[in-house]
Amino acid sequence: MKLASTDAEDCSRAAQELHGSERQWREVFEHNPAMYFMVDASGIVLSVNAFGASQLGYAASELVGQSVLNLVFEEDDKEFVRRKMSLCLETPGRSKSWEVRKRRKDGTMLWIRENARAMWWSRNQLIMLIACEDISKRYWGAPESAQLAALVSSSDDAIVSKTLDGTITSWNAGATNILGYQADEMIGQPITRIIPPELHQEEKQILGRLHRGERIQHYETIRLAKDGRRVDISLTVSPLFNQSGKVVAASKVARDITERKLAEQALRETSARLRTLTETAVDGVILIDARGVVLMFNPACEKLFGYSADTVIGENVKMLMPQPYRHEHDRYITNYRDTRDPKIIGSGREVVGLRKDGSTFPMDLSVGEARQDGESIFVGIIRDLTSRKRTEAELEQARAELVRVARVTALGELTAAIAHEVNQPLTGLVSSGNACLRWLAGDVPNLKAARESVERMISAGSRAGEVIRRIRALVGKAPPLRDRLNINDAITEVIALIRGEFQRNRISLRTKLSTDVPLVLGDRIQLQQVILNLILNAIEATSDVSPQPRELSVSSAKDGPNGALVSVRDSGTGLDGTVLDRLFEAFYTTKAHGMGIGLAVSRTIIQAHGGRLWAMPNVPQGAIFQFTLPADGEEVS
Amino acid sequence: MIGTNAIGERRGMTEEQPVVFVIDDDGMVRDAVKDLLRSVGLSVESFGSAQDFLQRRRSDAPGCIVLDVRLPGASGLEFQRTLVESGIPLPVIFISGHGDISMSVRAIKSGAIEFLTKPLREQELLDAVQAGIERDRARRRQATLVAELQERFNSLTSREREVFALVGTGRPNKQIAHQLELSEMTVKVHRSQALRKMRAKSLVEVVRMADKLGVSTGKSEAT
Repeated sequence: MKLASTDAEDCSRAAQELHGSERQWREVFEHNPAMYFMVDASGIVLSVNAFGASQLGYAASELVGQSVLNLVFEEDDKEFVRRKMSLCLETPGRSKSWEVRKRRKDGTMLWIRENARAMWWSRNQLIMLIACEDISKRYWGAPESAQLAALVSSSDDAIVSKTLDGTITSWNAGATNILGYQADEMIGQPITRIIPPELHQEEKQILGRLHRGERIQHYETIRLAKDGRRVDISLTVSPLFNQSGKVVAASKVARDITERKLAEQALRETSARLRTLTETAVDGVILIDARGVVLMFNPACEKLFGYSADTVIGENVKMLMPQPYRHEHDRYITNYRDTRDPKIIGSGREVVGLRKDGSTFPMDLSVGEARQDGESIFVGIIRDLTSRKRTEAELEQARAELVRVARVTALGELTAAIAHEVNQPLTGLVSSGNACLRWLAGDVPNLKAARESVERMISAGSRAGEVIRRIRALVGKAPPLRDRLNINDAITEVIALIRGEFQRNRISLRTKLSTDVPLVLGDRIQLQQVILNLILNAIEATSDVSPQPRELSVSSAKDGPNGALVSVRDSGTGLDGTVLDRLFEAFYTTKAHGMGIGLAVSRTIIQAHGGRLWAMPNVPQGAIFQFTLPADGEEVS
Repeated sequence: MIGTNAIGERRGMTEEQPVVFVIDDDGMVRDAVKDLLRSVGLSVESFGSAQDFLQRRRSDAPGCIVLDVRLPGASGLEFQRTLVESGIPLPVIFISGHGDISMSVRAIKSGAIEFLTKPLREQELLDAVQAGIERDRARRRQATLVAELQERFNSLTSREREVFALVGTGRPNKQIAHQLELSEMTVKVHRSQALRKMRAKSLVEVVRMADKLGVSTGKSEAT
């Protein structure tokens, strides 16, 4: 150990005394991750641990014997350190601490907080133990003050520093921009000049917090500009420490947030208007995010669905849908996200809603899309269609009733016409027959007159026969029109005509129309009457089967080389053997309100077209009615 | 019911052969009904339409009309009204293809004999036709009687007519004389002359005759 001392004898004695515990000291010093120096009263390093030396970029041996004052960053700092050290030496046994900049071997700066304590090494030798802590991180990296100044002066934010008693000590260009005062107008002035009178109390609180070393961030307040304007600002106030770590001043960074405030105000007003709009809207308004989670649920929705907004918000909108929509909704959303194919977005459609009590109701749903923070959100406007549906159903029922009445009336008129037509010759027949008997019953039978009576009877009988032939012709024979027609078109038109019947009876309809069905020659209207009749019969039979699947299928196919086959299948009550036998007889019916005319007439029509109409049981239940028609040309030849 | 003595002399004239008029647009029905009615000895004249009936010359004989209610042009019921308005008081028997109750009720209310549905039941038709003929005969007899009485009444002097009318109200001669400002003697002369000319044999007959002629009004009482 190399010691610099005035008294060599004292030194060697001290070295001897220390010798016993030296190993132990070394252990402690060398392995402690703090910088430890031992210096004599003049500041010469007696010892330093390896960690301490390496922090400064030296080996321990390079530092021992040097003055610690040589390790300060600038010449000016030497006096500061010397003062601190002499203070420390005056009060042995008491710790002192200070902060100082040190220079590494490579010339870079290090901020160090030093804890020093003087102690008697021997009776007449005072030494100091100094523990050092690197506090560079508390200070900004290491920007040069010129850079710093440039930064401050070019900032759009107002950067102002003040003493703790509120005197302004610096004022940058940003502050001039925001508040209108020049730096020379403000430096030395009290900060209260730019604080509205009612906020002076607030400034005191801020200063109080600063004294405790707290930092104030993004504090929104108001400052007065030179022209008297009140400027909304966001304030960040930081304590400025002196080199001993004491708060001596404050820096204030203020950002003009007038525009943001205005935007916020506008937003608040808009959202208040929107809220009023949605809360008073008669239609349901619902907002969901891209995953289907409900964000908003207005009072009209609450009324429609029976849920409170609290219950629904945060849940998936699926909860408002019955199956199968509930099941498929996720897929709709994913599909839309992936393909951007707007099936429903931007338009409306009729869907079914599910209420809290489990009941469903028809509703019209319009969906619009908006972007929020890069995510899609969807707005749904919901209108309850229950009453409209009910009206539609009532109308439909009235129409159906009208059709039925019209049909019965038409039949009644037909019957009356037929009755009259047959009645006339019948009247003739009976009356002439009576006359004939009387001509013969006389004492002298009048044979001539009797013969004439019989002749009239015969002619009346023939006329009755003619009437029957005419009725037949009216229904079946010699149709007035023979067009080439596509039976598929005829079927499609009939189905379009009575689509309402399927919906009203909740029957699912399947059509399988084959494209290779040849054209047939026939009377479109008559053939459509047959198809209509078969479908109406099937609907009626199917409606009698209550919970079973109600299915009806209409299909067409090529029949043989060049005919057409049309089938109507139902899952209805079906046909048993006896019914099958008599099905096509006129006036035979299994229906409560049937006339027993339809199938007889239908068969007559099909036969007049050269085809066949027959029935058979469907599997597992129901009936199949089929008819064939010869292809165009076949029947003519 | 009718002054029998008075019309006895004309009996041969009123018992003439009845005629049934059949109106139906259907020739076969028309011919068959005609055949049937002829087979029971009635004479029949048939027409294809109401216009035909109104325009053609017809026999002036007791009878009735058998009318199809569904005539082309005016309906049977309208035709029934036309007949009344044209002074053709022939009874009508309707025949119809349907048993339309409301129509039959209206027909009967308008004075039709019967409303029959086709095909016709022989007996119903013959009974109705017979009833129609009887009703027409009675009407014609009544009409003939009134015409005869009117003829006799026309032969009276105006004073005799006055006296006859007052006798017909049942007033005694004295009262009549006072009313007409004549002597009772003069009234007696007029009265016997009038009764002789009217061939009235009793006061009862005078009252009936006055009633039929419509001269026994209450106007004499008022004066």
